[in-house]
Amino acid sequence: MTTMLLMGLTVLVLLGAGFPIALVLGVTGVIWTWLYNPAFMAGIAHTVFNTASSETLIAIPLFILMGQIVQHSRIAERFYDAVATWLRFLPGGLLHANVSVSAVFSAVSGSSVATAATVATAALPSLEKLNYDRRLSTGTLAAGGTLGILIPPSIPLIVYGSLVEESIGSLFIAALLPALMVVALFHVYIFIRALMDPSIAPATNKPAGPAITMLQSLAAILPVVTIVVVVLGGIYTGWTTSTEAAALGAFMALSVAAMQGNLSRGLIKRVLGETGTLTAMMIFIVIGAQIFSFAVYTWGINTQIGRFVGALDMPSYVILGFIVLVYLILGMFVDALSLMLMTLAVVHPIIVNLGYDPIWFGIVLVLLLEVGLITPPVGMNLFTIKAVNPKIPLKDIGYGSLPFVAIVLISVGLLIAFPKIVLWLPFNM
Amino acid sequence: MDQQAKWFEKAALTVSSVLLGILFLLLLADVVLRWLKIEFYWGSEAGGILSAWLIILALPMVIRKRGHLAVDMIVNAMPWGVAQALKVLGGALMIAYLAVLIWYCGKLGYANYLSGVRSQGILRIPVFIVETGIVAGFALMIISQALQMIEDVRRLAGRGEDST
Repeated sequence: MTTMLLMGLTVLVLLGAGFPIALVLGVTGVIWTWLYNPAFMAGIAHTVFNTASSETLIAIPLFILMGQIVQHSRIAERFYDAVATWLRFLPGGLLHANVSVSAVFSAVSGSSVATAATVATAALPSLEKLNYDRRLSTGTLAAGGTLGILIPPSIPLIVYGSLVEESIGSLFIAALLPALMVVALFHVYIFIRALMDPSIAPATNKPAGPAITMLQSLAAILPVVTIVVVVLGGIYTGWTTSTEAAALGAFMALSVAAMQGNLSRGLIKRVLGETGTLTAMMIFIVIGAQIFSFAVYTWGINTQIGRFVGALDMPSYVILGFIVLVYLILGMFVDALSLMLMTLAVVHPIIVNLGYDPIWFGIVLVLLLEVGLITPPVGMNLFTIKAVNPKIPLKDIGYGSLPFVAIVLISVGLLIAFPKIVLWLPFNM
Repeated sequence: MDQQAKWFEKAALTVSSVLLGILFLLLLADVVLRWLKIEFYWGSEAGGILSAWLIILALPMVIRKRGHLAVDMIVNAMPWGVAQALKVLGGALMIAYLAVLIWYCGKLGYANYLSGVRSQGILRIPVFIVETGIVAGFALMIISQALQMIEDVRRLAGRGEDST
């Protein structure tokens, strides 16, 4: 326990100094592995190679590529403008479009960060132009992005299914109702906030983008929906793996851009370059996180926690509450996938022993990881929004995300109280 | 020197972009060829290798663009000199971190070269080839980071004057 606290303190100090997150996690892992036993440092080299050449992670550059093509070829802007045309009459206007478009793009990108980046790039200029409340605007974008790891194809759900040997198809089906519930709660919150204080989302009949009729807007919506159907359809029918589906989706995005007359050599060069740098930045963090996880495993911290929790003579819901708390705390410091990889070996047997369904827990876990994406100091989506518009203070994005943290936590509470929200579909389809 | 650095960062990113294009075509071919019932088993395996190189080669440009994510709330509240000194310290720590990775990854790559270890799969590529690419990428990152650190030190010495 002392080691865990000191390791956490190392992370906090280095983060506070403003060092890159990839460096913070990696250096902490290197230092603590060295302190345990310098002979174990060779394991770090294996970790680096395995992470960099991981076949699972190939999906990331391809999903980003698909998102980048959609984003830079104005498909995303047209889609956003089209959805905004349909939703701008609601109290909350474009904020509803932020959530709805994020939900759809989650199914296209499979990544929270890519979803947040794509939708934020399309949405932020309009939101700023129309004087929407900055905190709520960025909060909806960061929170909408979290849907990327809940709405299939979700990379964390695939990893979870393969680690605990549960059907990935069942997990995808189980995620549907909770995803719809979270999206609905986001919309309800925005609706109520906008009714209470209309100044946060100034009502306007003029669109921020080019004026289009509802019929014209369908032409912008249809290509994106087709990409979603092909990507998800390929995965659901088992015709493609998620990586192949991403390649197919990128090809379709290229085709749509070509059909709309937006494809050029410059665009291809740009999307390839940006995809490369974005992927490199993300995977460098994953490499750091894996080195950090290696140190955690080396010190046996995960086993110690498992023993500690296992020895507790308490009702199951109290232990579950403790696990939720641990995830919420760790989620503030460790990235979602690493946290899952770091803890599952310990937590999964505890959950099964307590009598909870592993499929149900998979969905609850992903929701808890969602919270980590929008809570500082390592809330990836907060940084993604900041990266899209560096002028926006991180503090504003953090504060704007807080109500959505509460909504996701309420959703977790509902899933604990009513497990059928998760389990009804997989057991009845 | 700075111009040369920018040249190699752009060149590395161009190679990374080409590798990404090949990766995309490879996996697209995987889907299409399966639809045509033509065997093509090594797409994912080759994809893993391409993915490793494209990531590492793009990293020097991430450093050039100061694209690494960081928590800036506390640093932004500090006096400019302290924040700049921390930036220099962060650069030095990054170089040390990369040097450690190069040392241990290089040792592993060299050991695999000597023992002739090959990848598990259909391609059976000597793993040291993949590992050497990753080590070389880390070395390029050190150069980019060192040049950026020099810029930061000059800025600190000039108390805010842009030296670039």
